[in-house]
This record gives sequence, C-alpha cells and structure tokens, in this order.
Amino acid sequence: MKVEQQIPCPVCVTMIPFDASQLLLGVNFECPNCHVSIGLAADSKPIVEKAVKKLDDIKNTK
Amino acid sequence: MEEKEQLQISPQKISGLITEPLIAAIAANNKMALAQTNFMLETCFTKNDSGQYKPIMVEMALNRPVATPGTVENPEPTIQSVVTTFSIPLLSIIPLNSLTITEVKLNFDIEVLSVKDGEDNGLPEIYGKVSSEKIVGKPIISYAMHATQMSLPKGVNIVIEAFSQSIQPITIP
Ligand SMILES: [Zn+2]
Repeated sequence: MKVEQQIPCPVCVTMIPFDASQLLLGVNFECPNCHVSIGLAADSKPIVEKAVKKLDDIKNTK
Repeated sequence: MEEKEQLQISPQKISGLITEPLIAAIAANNKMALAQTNFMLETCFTKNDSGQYKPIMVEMALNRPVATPGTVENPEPTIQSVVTTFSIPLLSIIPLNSLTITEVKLNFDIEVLSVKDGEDNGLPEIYGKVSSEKIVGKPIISYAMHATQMSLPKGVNIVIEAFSQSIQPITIP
C-alpha cells in the first residue's frame, strides 16, 4: 500500500506531495503552486535512510 | 476421503468460529501499532534526562529561482537558482501509516451440527464445523466478511500536522 505523504511548501504553504523512498534517491518534489522544489539535504540522508529501514524491518516482522 | 475424515475437528460455537480470525487480526494490528509507537518514540525523538521527548530534525533543501534585473551593460535579466535549507521533523517524512492491516477477508462455510441453549444469556448457541469446501445437502451458514482499516489514529496525524505546520525556512547567506 502506498502512503500518501505531503508537506507544506515553506514558501506558500501549499501541500507538496512526496514519496519518502524517492526522496532518499535524491528526487526533488515541486510545489504545485509556486514551483519551488524541495529535496532531502545530503547531510540528512543517513538519518532518514536508517529510519525508513527500521520501519521496513517492523513491517516485515508482522 | 478417509484422510479428510481424520482431519475434521470437533464442533465449536459458531460465534467463536466467526470472531476468532478477527480477534487474531486485531491482536496483530495492536502489536503493529505498539511497534509503530515504539518506533516513533525511539527513532524520531530523543529523550532527555527529565523524560521529555524532542523531535529529531532533518534538513531539507529548497530550490528557488531568483531573477536578477539586467544592468545597463547587460540588460538581460538573469535567473539564478538559490538554495535554502529548512528543518522538518523526521516524523513528518517517514511513511508511518503503512503499518496497519488493511484488509481481512474471511470466506467459509459452516456446517450446522447442533443448537443448544446458551449457558450465559439463555440465547440458543449454534455449534458447527468450518469447511474449506462447499458443503452440499446439509444445513450450513455461508460466511463472507470483509474488514478494512487504514488511516493513522487521529492523534498521530495531529502531531505530524503540528510539526509540519511549524516548518521555518532559514536562508543560507
Ligand atoms: Zn509553494
């Protein structure tokens, strides 16, 4: 099941849909209103990667 | 055919036959919810000595095109991409609500074997046997059930929303 994720645009507060796994791959997501793009900063990639992996582990042990 | 006879189980209360698979699913769901809560607290927060939880923040990069007006020498305006970083809680980018059982499908026939007076409330209790195959020529109860559960508990959504709302951009000089 795909989770619909979104975060508010820091410029115009319009919701920007994104996908966590794509975010980890370095994909940028564009605000549908003001067209700025957001992506994960390189420094934070390991933290997110670790958290997503941990969540996957929980999912797989069900 | 003989082998199948050996595998048959003794009659059980129909109410139990129906509810037990659901109770098992709910228990599994509870287990996952607990695992999810622990994950949230352990992975997305840090706890200080006084027991207060503080969200772990991650840095996001914001790319924004900025137009610079032309000069006398060079009248063409230039468009530059400016990178700004902002922090968001780790919790708000983790795909959390995938940790629920989304569908429970039960489909079976129950062969009705006897009806007895109930012990507790005096209502009749039906006893039967579950069959994975279609039962022909005997009294049966056909049972098809579909249960779904999807969204996150409202409280978790409110926490995520509150965090998302407080996103503040910090401009890099
Ligand atoms: Zn925007």
